[in-house]
Order: sequence, then structure tokens, then C-alpha cells
Amino acid sequence: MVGIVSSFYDLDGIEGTMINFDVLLQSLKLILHWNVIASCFAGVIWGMFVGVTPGLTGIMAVVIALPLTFFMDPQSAIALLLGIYVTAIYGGSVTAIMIATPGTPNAAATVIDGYPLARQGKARQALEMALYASFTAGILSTVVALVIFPIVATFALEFGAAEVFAVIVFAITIIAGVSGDSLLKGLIAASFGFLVATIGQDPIHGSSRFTFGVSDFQAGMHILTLLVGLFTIPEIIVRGVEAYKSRDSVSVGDMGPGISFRKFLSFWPIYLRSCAGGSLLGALPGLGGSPAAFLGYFLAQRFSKKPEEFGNGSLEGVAGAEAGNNSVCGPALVPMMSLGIPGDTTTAVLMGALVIHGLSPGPMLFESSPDFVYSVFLLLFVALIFLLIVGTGVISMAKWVVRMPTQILFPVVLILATYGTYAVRGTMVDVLAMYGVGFFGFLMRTQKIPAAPFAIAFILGPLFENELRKSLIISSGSLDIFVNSAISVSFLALAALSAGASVYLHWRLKGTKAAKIISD
Amino acid sequence: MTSELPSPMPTVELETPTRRGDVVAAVLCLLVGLAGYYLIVPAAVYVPSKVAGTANSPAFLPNVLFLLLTGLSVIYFIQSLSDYLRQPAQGRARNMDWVLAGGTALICVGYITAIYIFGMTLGAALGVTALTYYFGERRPWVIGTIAIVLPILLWYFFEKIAHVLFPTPWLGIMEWLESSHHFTIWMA
Repeated sequence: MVGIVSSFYDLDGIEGTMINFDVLLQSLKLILHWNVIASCFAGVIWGMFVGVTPGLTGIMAVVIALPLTFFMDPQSAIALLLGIYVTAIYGGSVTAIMIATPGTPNAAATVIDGYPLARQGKARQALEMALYASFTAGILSTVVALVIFPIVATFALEFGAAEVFAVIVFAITIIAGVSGDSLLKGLIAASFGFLVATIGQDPIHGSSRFTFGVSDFQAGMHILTLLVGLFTIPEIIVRGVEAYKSRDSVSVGDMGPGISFRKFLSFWPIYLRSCAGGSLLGALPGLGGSPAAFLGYFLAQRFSKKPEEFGNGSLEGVAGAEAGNNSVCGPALVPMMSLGIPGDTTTAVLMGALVIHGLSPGPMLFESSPDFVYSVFLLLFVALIFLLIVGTGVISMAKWVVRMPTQILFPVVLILATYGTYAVRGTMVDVLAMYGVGFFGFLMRTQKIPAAPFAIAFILGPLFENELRKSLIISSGSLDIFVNSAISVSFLALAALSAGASVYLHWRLKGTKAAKIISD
Repeated sequence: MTSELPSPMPTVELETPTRRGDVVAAVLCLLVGLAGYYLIVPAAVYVPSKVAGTANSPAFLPNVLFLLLTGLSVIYFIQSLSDYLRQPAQGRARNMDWVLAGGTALICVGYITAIYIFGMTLGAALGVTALTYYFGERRPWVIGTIAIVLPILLWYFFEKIAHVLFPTPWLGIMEWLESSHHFTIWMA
């Protein structure tokens, strides 16, 4: 720990903990190719389409696009996925404002004031506020990420097996605590995720585990199979029920006037506060956009001169929520790229995409491919600029985009998911497994056993097992190794603290409206 | 001024957990945990004798996880059972939703079966037709267009561009069409 702190004052150390502008310039060259820019733009279009479609979540958008990236170079692949990642968060606010249905969970806080504004004939103001707040917070938070990334990456180089294990325990505890309606259900989901990750060959001895003679499972369950199954199939089943219940045609009234530039600028303290809160939550493994949106909303209300307007149609509320959820974009990539621990489910898929393309996120990635790492952050800026352009177009078409025919979209998504899963390894076993996981995920969802800890535990499973067994082999089976290092003790203590806080919060909020909002 | 705006999407009752469902889920998790530890790991994990019982064993983590799952399930069971006994019974609004969800699941199973019988392309045509109809689309030209255009686009992308080999179905209608001389020239 002392070594890390001193590196800030040591001239040699400073080089490693600050942005290297030479590498930044090199990485600029990496992204200035038509195929990379076009992929990013395509990602923004797809992300927007998915975002404005209720029920199609950002994670689904990324998962469905993942098989396409197999035929791309790593740079274009990550550009496509980042375009989706950034845009789907904003896209979700369009339906949240227009029809009180968050296109993605991140837009849940936007409904509170966005929908009342639309009912008052101020839909365009709310949509524009959401777009500009998303863009501003996205840019600010990416700058934050760019600055803190080298520091975290340098810090991560100090990590050994026990420390990495402790970080994973911390991440899983947070994810389990904030997903769903109880820590217990989150931990059960995570246990299933870790268990599914053990299918295939043992990493040390190479002996088969849970393959039951199916040779296609020797290499384990493919990440795409699990993610598509877990996030797409349950969503399609639930939305199918919803489509059945809502066959009335959607009619949208006046959009009203837009927002002036002066009014947009006058909200700058909201952007800064939401961005600070959102960046902090984004950089913590597992929290993601929804809590950041509610934090942004809360901060906007707390410091507002008109707090009584919140809940009845406040532009400040929309600005706070949207700035909050978009400010996690850049910082959420920091733990994924520097520690190999995804910030949320979508970054977990991005991590999977990097692994598929032969890049291993973690401390060594910054050492081996610094230009690639910086190019990822630069691509976020590109994606945000495209978001602004495409988002402006979507606002003028908002009346029509909310009429997306879900009865057609979801069947098409199901077919795409099936083809995508099959194409990965060319085996029907993967398709069967995908549907199996999907039906299991649906049953989990009916009891609010969250999918996020399951997915993230599955992705981190191999690393978790490796580091746990490596630590225990080094210490000849003694658990002391986990309490011998300050870093490991700190993360385990944080894990215990977050678990305690989660139990306490769920207990305190049980049965209240706040508990329902959090669990939804 | 209040605009004419649609009301929010309907609630899907399936997404509201029930106390009875929690008890059932806890029992199932408990059974999986116990079966995993006592039956599945011994049967499905090969452990070299020299590492048996150590952290180096391939069964080490699965055993730890099944035990953890068992422990968590016991707490979940006690918690959900006490909630179930303490609070009044909930309504049965979920039943209709379960039927609707079961219909979607059944179509998914039918779609997979169709892939085995007719292949990916025709299976997709049948699957998308059944699902769009089930989800409420009633215009024949819309269903027909999607059922024709989507599978052909996917077939062209995956087989001709990405060179993904599709599984051989029991009734290889597309394969027979593909082997036809005129069809091949037309596609070329």
C-alpha cells in the first residue's frame, strides 16, 4: 500500500500513473479507420433501436450483436459494442418519458419526472434534457475514467492470487446485494453462476466435470450461450405475456417546444453532482447505471430550489437521473479493463468480447496493449458524439418510435438469438443449453432471483477458481493467505461491510415504496 | 395542458414473486445443493486419487459451492416459510400469465424440434410465424413477409458469407433446394 501511495510522488512512478499522451495519440490512429467508425455508428443505431424498444435491454442488444463481432477485427468489434453500450442507456429514456415504460432498467428514475412532463405537453423538453444531460455526463465521466484508469491499473499490478480472489468476493457481494430484492437470492444466483462455470475441463488436471459424456461441453458452456439464454429468453417470455395484454394502439399527443441552450447550461451543477456520484458508483464493481440514476435524481432533488416539483414533472429530475446513469459508462470500464472485474452485466459481456478476441482484461492488458486500452476510452467519446446526432433525430421521431411493434420484434430477436448461439461453435448442444438456461432464468425471474450475479459469477468463475486454488496451494491449504495481505484484508472487509449494509437496508426498507423501486 | 398519452404498459404478474413460490424455490435450491454434493459431484467429476480431499482436487470448488448453496437455501427456506405462515395468502392473478408464458415456452420447444426436422431455415420460418401470431400479429402479409425474408437473410448471411455449417435435418428440404441447379444459379 505504501508503495502505491509513494508512486504518486516518485518521478518514475508518476510516469505509470498518469495519462501517456504519446500512447493516446497512437491509439487515436487505431480508431481513425472507416470500419471502426462505421462499426461504432452501427452500434449507436442498434443501441438506440433497442433502447427505445421496451423490454429490449442494453444487455440484450450487446449479447445479440456479439456473434457478429466474431467476423470483425478487435477494434471494430469493441467499437460496435461500445456504441450499443453508450446509446442503449439513453435510448431507454425515450419510452420512459413517452409511455412511462423504461426502455432499459437504467431509465427507471427518468420515468418519475419524464412521464409527468410528457403529460403536460413538454415531451420534447424532457427528451432533449435527457439527451443533453446524457451526453454531458458521458463526456465528463469518460474524462474521469481516462484519468483514473492508469492509477487503478498501476495499483492492480500489486495484486497476487489472494488479492484477486478478495476483489472477486467483494464484487460478487456487491452485485448480489444490489440486484433483486435480497442479498440471499443474489448469493444463491451467484452460486449457480459459479457452478455452471465449473462445467468442462478442470483448469489444473484437465479432468472432465459435469459433462455427462457430451463432448461439446468439454470446453465448458460458452459465455454467449449463457448470456443469451439468461437475458433474452426470459425477457421474450415475459414480454410475450405483456404483448398479449396490451393490444391497444399507442397514441401520443403534442410534443411541445424544445429546451433552450441557456436553460440547458443553467443545470451545470446537476451534471457535475450526478457525474461525481455516478462515476463513483460506476467504478465500483457491480453497481451499474440504475443506482447511479437514482443517486443523480436524489442529488438533484436534495440541492434543488424547487424540490416540490420533483415527481410532478421536473426537468431537474430528468437531468439528474439521466446524467447519473450515463456517467457510469466510462468509469464502469475501469475495473473491467484494469482488474478484469466487470462493473456491471453489460461490461461483463464487453469483457467476454475482449476474451473472445484474444485480449485478457486485467492489469497486464495495460502493460501489453496500452494503445488498445486508450482506444477504448477514445471510442467512448466517438460513441457519445454519434449519440448526440442520432438522439436528436430520434427525438423528432419520438411520436413514431414508441409504436415499435413488439409482437414482431420479439419473435425476430428469438430467431436471431438462436442463430447467434448456434454460430459460435456450430453445435445444437449450445442451442439446447441456451434454451435450458433461458427457462431456468425465467423461473428465477418469477421469484426475483436476479440474473446479474449469475452471469457475472459465471464470467468470473474460471478466474475465481484459479486464484482460490492457487492461493490455497501456495499456503498449503491454510486460509491465512487471505488475511496476510493488506489489500486482500481490505477487500474482504469491504465485502463483509457491503453484505451487512445490504441486509440492513433491505430490512429497513422492507415493504416500502423505496424497496419496490430498488428491487424493480 | 394534458396531452393524450398512453397509459404505462400492463404489469406482468409473473414478475411479482409469491411467498409460496419462494418456499418452492428454496426447497428446489436445497435439493440441488444436496444432490450436487452427495450425488452429482461423485458421479460427474473425476478426481485423481493423489489430490482427493485437497484444494488441488477438481471436485474442491464444486463441493464448496454445493455446500454454500445448501446453506443459503436453508436460510432461504426458513425465511420464506416464516413469511408464508405469517402473512395472508395472495391472489391467483398469476395463473393466466403462467398459461401465456407456457404457450411461449411451448412454441420455443416446437421451434427447436422444427430445426431438427426441417433445418435452421425452415425451422426459423415456422418459429417466427408461430410466435408473431401468438404475440398478437394478425396481418397475414406481415407474418408472411417476415417468415420468408428473415430466414432467407439469415441463411444467406450465415451459410454464404460467414460459412457457418447448419445442422443436417431429418427432412433436408433446404439442402435439396440448394442442390438444385437453377436455385444455385439464382443465388449466385
